[in-house]
Amino acid sequence: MKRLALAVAASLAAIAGSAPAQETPPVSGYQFLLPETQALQDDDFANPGMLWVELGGKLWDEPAGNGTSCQNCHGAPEAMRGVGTRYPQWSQTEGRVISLEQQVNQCRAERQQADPFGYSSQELVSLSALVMHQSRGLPMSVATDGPAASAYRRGKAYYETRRGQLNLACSNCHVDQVGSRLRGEPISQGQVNGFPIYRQLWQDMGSVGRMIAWCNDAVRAEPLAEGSQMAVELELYLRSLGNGLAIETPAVRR
Amino acid sequence: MVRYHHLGNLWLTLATIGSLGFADPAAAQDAGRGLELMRASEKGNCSICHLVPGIGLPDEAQGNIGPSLEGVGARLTPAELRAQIVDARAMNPETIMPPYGSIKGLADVDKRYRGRPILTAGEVADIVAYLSSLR
Ligand code: HEC
Ligand code: HEC
Repeated sequence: MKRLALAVAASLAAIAGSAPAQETPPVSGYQFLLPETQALQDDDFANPGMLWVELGGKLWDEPAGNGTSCQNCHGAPEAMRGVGTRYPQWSQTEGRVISLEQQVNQCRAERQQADPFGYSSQELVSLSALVMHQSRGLPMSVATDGPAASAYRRGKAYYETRRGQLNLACSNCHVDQVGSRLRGEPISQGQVNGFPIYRQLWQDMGSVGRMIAWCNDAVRAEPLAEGSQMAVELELYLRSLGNGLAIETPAVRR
Repeated sequence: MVRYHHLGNLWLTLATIGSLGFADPAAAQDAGRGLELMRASEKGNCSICHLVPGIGLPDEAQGNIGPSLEGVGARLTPAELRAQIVDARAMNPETIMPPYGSIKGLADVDKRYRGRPILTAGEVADIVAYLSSLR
């Protein structure tokens, strides 16, 4: 634990040294992991999240609905490099901010004339993991201005509002208590640069929406459904907090 | 008939005294039950934030968000302990400690928990009894 605390402090100091000091710089959840969990994430052959990326690769090439596949419109998955850095983003056709998962479902419905995947389905989380994985190493850079500005403000307000029977806001833990232990678990900044993540506790891959639901359940707040507009706008805010952080998908977390 | 009737009344009277007794937190204190309540994740779950002596977890598996509760019975009176648990906001409006005995100002509470605080007055009294024993 000491070693972990030191590692976190060192990486905070390293980043603080290279940035203007007023605001806390974003730090990936990776820096709060035990070395063995970091090693699991770093090894593509051992990282369980790669199974979802592979499944995403199969689905990418699979014709659906009217017989077209993702590949027919977009070419190889590698063509998606950079796309994952921008989501959630404003959609002109929808007139609202949408998540990457919703963009995938929009393609399915409009272009492939196929039934959309369930938000927490293995198929959708796999395609999302595949697309995000193409941007691994690129800095997250979601837009928070222009038409996305009001969604950003609502996301921020949600993040900072106390809720639930425990009366806690996201910021009470992920801003005010970063580095403290909640039971045995070091509290990170709640960054989302590694999502979808393979979470050992779930033995499964999960979207940002699933993580929000988990934290909300912990404070005994009303659930925020994965894919609901509020959850997507909260995701936009979370991603904006990590603008500049390198994408890690598929990250492994405890 | 008359005798039974009286007996019934007596039972009723005893039952009333009994329940009054239990409604008075001071009369129901049970430190052992207090420790159980502090451990239970559906109830106090106190060690997510505090080091709780006697809870049976290694130090590094307990939280360090709040102060260690070692010796807290010597630092705080039972009334102060009760006030901190019932609604820590009374002492520190910005506290992160959940209001265990109050639903004042809560927003967006899941319907499984809505309309009641986490702990009853009796449960708070049990926890106070345990904490008071930590010296
Ligand atoms: C009572 C404390 C607490 C509150 C309140 C809380 N969280 Fe968390 N959160 C945790 C813990 C503990 C973890 C797991 C360890 C870590 O990464 O911080 C976690 C993890 C996360 C992660 C994953 C970070 C990663 O690197 O994988 C995200 C994202 C997150 N929380 C978002 C939120 C959001 C959004 C809210 C509010 C709706 C919220 N949290 C409220 C304690 C909390
Ligand atoms: C989410 C975090 C959290 C939880 C859960 C929590 N506390 Fe606290 N507690 C704190 C913090 C932080 C303080 C410091 C004072 C303050 O800010 O209110 C504190 C202070 C205290 C104090 C005063 C200690 C002193 O030395 O002055 C007592 C007693 C206490 N808590 C008891 C409990 C008990 C009993 C429970 C469970 C039934 C509990 N706490 C659950 C965060 C928490």
